[in-house]
Amino acid sequence: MYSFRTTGFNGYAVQYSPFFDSRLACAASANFGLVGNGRLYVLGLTPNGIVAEKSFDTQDGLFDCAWSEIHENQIVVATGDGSIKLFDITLSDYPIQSWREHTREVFSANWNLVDKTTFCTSSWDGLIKIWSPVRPKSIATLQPRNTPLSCTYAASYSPYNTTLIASCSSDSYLRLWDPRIGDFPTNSVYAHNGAEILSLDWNKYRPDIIATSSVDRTIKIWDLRFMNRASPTLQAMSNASPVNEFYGHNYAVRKISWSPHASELLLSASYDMTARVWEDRTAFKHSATQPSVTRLHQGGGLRGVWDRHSEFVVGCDWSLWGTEGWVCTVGWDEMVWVWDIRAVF
Amino acid sequence: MPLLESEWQEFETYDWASDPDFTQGLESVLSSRGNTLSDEEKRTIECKARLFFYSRKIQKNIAYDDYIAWKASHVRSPVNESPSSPLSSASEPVPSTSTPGQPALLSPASVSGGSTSENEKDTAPYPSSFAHIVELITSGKEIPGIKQIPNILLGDTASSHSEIPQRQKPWAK
Repeated sequence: MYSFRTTGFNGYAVQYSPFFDSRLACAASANFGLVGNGRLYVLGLTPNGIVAEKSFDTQDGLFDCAWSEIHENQIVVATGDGSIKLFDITLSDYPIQSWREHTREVFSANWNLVDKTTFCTSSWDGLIKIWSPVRPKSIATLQPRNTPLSCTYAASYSPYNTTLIASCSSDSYLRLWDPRIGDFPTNSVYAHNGAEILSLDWNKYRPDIIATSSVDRTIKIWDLRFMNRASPTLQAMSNASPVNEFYGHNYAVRKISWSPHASELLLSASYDMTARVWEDRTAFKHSATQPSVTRLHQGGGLRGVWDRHSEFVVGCDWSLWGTEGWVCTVGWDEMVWVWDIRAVF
Repeated sequence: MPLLESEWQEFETYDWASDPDFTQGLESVLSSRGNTLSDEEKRTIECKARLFFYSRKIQKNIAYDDYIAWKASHVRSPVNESPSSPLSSASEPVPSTSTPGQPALLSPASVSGGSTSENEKDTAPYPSSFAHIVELITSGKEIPGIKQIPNILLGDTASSHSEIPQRQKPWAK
């Protein structure tokens, strides 16, 4: 277990480098992101603990960051003034590129895991935009049809399909998009009964499985195969049911992340000041070796609680490399914690 | 259940000074507490008194936490609005003491999410310094410590060259 203090900045997001075992980035904001500067930290995990290898200050707060999947030194940040900035961490002080198309806070940035040449962002302006780091303008803009625009808290690429994007919004909809088909949702589900959906993540081993988390304190697991396909002109009325639900957090669940190593493990960060590890036992449903056991154990399987944060836990991520089970969490307590999930099992 | 956006707006624009029922009520509350109250405490009491008064007026329960949460969610003004957007005036009592509420970066609807038992609160307790910043912003006071960052772009040509091969994700192995 290691820690780092982002003094003067409240943590919003953290991501491990897709290239280096011991590097991670943290996006943070002064004054809880209400007003003031942002700071991107590039952190190194060393035998002597976590050290800041580099930091970049921005005019407005930072709400998310995404490492490039094709360039080990590049990373984009999502800012409160609607801009998106691309940094090269071998340089100092300033970004190499900045894009300003969103008209409100940009709340998520996510790099394409398959094609790797594009990334997407989502904003309070209700839009999702697709970008290339080498293009001066966005490549595409996605927006729901026939419905008021609502804060889109997250948009994320499928780890298996080059163009498929899932998004979640304050209007309680989980939406799927495929720009190859059109700029309208190909699928949408009213997923949390009206409550805002703050986060979503694609399962890394089951291409049809998505998890969503909400201010309603729940985490829900969805199987896209059970969803109706929407037509471009009709607001989807899909009443799909989740295949699993996790109860336990006492307040809004701000961020969720599936394990890169195991299909059943999910990490969550909540305003209840805890991060939790869950086991989605529906992952074992089709296992030939334990067909009858699964039904008994179906449901939300809380495996562990990390309670070292003293304010909202806002961001979390899994280490891709090294020993399986290391994770990082950040929060409004200005703390970055790197810990092993086996310590809380 | 928190108020609708329109109801909050009506609450915010209510003419308190011209309502004798309220002003007399507030006066008696304040006088009953003696003259040892700090300005800060007076502001908190007035804020709660307004909420109490208004909840009786519209026959709806208004939680103090919900108000702070709503207030906080209106702190970040949209970038396409003028900086002088009429969020509040300096005369509004927004207490800066430690108070529960909802994080600002959620819209008001976030407060109403989820069904909970009656004794449980929907809103998460946020840090005491959070309410203080909300107060500074809504009262138009200067926020200390904001640096001006020059709008400089180093450009693609300044970028380093990628030298490391991409790594296969654990799930692709």
